[in-house]
Amino acid sequence: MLSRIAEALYWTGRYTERAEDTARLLDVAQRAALEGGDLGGSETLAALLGGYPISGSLADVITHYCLNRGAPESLASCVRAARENARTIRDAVTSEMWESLNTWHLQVAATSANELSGGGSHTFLAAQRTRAYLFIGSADASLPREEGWYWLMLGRWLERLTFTTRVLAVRAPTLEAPSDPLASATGGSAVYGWAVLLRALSAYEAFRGAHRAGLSPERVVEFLLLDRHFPRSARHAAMQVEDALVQVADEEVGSSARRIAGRLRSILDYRQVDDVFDEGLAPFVHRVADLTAEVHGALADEPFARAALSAASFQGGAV
Amino acid sequence: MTLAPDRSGGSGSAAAVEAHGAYDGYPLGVVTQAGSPAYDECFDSEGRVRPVYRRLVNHLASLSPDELATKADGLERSMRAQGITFTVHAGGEDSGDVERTFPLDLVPRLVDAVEWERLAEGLTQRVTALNAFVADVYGAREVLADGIVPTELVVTGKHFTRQATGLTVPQAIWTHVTGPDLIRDGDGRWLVLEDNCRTPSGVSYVLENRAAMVRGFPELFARHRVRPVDAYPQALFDVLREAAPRGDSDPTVVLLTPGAYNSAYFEHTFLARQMGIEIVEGGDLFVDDAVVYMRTTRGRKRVDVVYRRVDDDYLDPLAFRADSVLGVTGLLTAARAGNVAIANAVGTGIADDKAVFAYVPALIRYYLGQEPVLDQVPTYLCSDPDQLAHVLENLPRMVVKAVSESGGYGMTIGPTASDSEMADCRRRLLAKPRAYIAQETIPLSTHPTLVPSPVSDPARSQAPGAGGRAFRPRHCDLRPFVLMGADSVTIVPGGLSRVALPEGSLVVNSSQGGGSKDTWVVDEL
Repeated sequence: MLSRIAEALYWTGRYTERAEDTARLLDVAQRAALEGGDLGGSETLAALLGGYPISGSLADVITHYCLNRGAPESLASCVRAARENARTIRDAVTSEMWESLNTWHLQVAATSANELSGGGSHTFLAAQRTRAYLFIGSADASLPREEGWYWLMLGRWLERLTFTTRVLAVRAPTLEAPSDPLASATGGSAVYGWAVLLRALSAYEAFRGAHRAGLSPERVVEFLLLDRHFPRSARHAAMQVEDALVQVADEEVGSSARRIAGRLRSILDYRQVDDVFDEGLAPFVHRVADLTAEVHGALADEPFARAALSAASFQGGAV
Repeated sequence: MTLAPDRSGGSGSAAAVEAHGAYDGYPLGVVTQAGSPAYDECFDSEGRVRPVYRRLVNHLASLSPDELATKADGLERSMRAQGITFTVHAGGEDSGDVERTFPLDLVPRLVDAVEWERLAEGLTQRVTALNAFVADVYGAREVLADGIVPTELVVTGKHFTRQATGLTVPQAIWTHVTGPDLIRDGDGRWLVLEDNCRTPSGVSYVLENRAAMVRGFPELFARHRVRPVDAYPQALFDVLREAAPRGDSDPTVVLLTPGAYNSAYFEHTFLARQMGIEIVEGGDLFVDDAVVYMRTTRGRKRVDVVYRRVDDDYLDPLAFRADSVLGVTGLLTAARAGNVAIANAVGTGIADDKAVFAYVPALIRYYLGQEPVLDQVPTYLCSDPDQLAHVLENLPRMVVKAVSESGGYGMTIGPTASDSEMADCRRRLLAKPRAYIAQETIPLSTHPTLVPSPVSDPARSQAPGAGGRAFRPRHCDLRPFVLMGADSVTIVPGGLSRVALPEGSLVVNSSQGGGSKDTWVVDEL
């Protein structure tokens, strides 16, 4: 497969996943604010989604992250970037995938700030998640399980791993602090802060199913970082990243990305939650984040052949 | 003028054809800007249906307005749903480029098989001579030495490519794919208007139009023997495969596109998919030690044949425009070393030169020792004093074209030009005669086309029309696609018929309100 096509599929996977993550996080942030808590204000949102902190009302902030096309971190920008990536490789995506992305983009582009006022933002954000599911569902139902599929999956899982890790990294200091500001803002109920964190990762129900005993910092961290089966846990995402890389890499090209992904997965495989807290949650989460970034960096050099661009193309000699 | 019933035949019901329905009020003998009546391909000047069209007119006239509307909408939907679009450049970050469909008219254009055979023979002859000319110009230059075409005219031509001088190409084929534009004059005579030996586009519409028509009009196909067009991708692939420099039976062939923002990108992906080859952009290829490779996720892969849909100017920044980011650095070096075939070869633009066009009949005689089978639009070289005098005398009925321009730029159309434009044109001709050629204005032939019926049309009040639509004459041209292989020339039967949809318009370009028609080469049943 052409490097360019592989890379465009990879980014399509990343941007659609990022759009979904962004929509869910904003919805949760909004709900938390309405219930009297918050995720830590616009500083926290900026740390989670990227860009500079936005001043203004919560509605302004939500509008910015949803619709501001000048801001690369906005949902509208993510959807557009996904669509543009797919557009340049129309022959490598199925028409079902293209149509779902195109419709998604057109719908977001046609949404005005007015439509997000009142209850509109919740409706909009819920629709964004549905759109993301439609896209990934259409890919699942129509794209052959060949190399292209695995590049799409690699982008998707790497983005998800990045997001989960980032949520934990941003929340880690407060998790370890004796009093969680989010919890104290809601009358000291520590349970509430944990619930918000889980909801931001679609993990609340799954966590409840796995741990009926109740919420505790150790259990939540264990679930989000180390659970083998939950599809948004860091460990599960790392397993999927490695699986996708096994499909697209061989001994020569992509072997370094595969090696780093293997290390990342094994770190998560062989840790117990006590080990994590012994090491310190923040340092551990940062180590995971660094390795995740390294996998991405290794892809750019080899399978995506970016480095080769400048080196090889000038060896043609004069006419 | 209303349509007279067909009185030509004498065989019972066929002779009693009464064109009605949506044909009512169809005007005959449309006079164009050229001042003379256009040839209508379906009806003769008496309003009789031409023989090849009888079954078609019978059938379409029998459809109710609702049926016609349903079919037209079905075609439109089918084209849109498949995303058969081209890009019209708008500009601005967010205004974005507009993706438009190229509307397919539901009335097919019919060409009698006997007539087609003669056209195909003429096109084969023409492309064979042009290919020989290009090879000669960049090789032995015998045609120049023998004084058939003036050397100066060739080497000062804008599309003369000095970088191609001395280049040898596999099988001596330079013009693998050509897409000449043909028109019909007031007598219905086919004339070549342009040869298009560089990177002609439009063949994807030929294939997609046919697919849509077969779905929309199965009953019409059952009543005609229409020659199929779907062999084109395989024939193109065969031509490209044969061009492989190392005689490899399974060479790696790629289609080089300028990218997703090119107006013909749909066609590029369509052809690549149909041929099962990789579609690449300049950045996907690189040249190492005069060998072309593509960058894949498994490392480099050698490329043998590049079917390029990128102009010469942008093909290789080392050889041509240094600021091009669409091309492949060193590609021409690789071609020169015989490590890759480029189709079409670089330099074929010289065969599209407007001044060279005037010499094509002479080239056919020179290279093939034959008389041209096909006529071409009469062309005058303003560099020749006698011809210039003739042009100046007849300027109001001439089209004057700058030799170095294309796509309608630098053109003065005598019959429609204002007095000041004419004066300006005359001044430029006298100042720089060599920069111009002039051609007779030809009244492009017309063909029944389904259009929204005008409210002011008096015929409309008597005729039911077709749900607000009626058949009206619209001007059209034809672009067949000619494939030149090592041993034979293949022409997909028919080609792309482009039709100017606004009344009276002669502009068939897709970007300017043009539509298309499915073109049927029909054998007698």
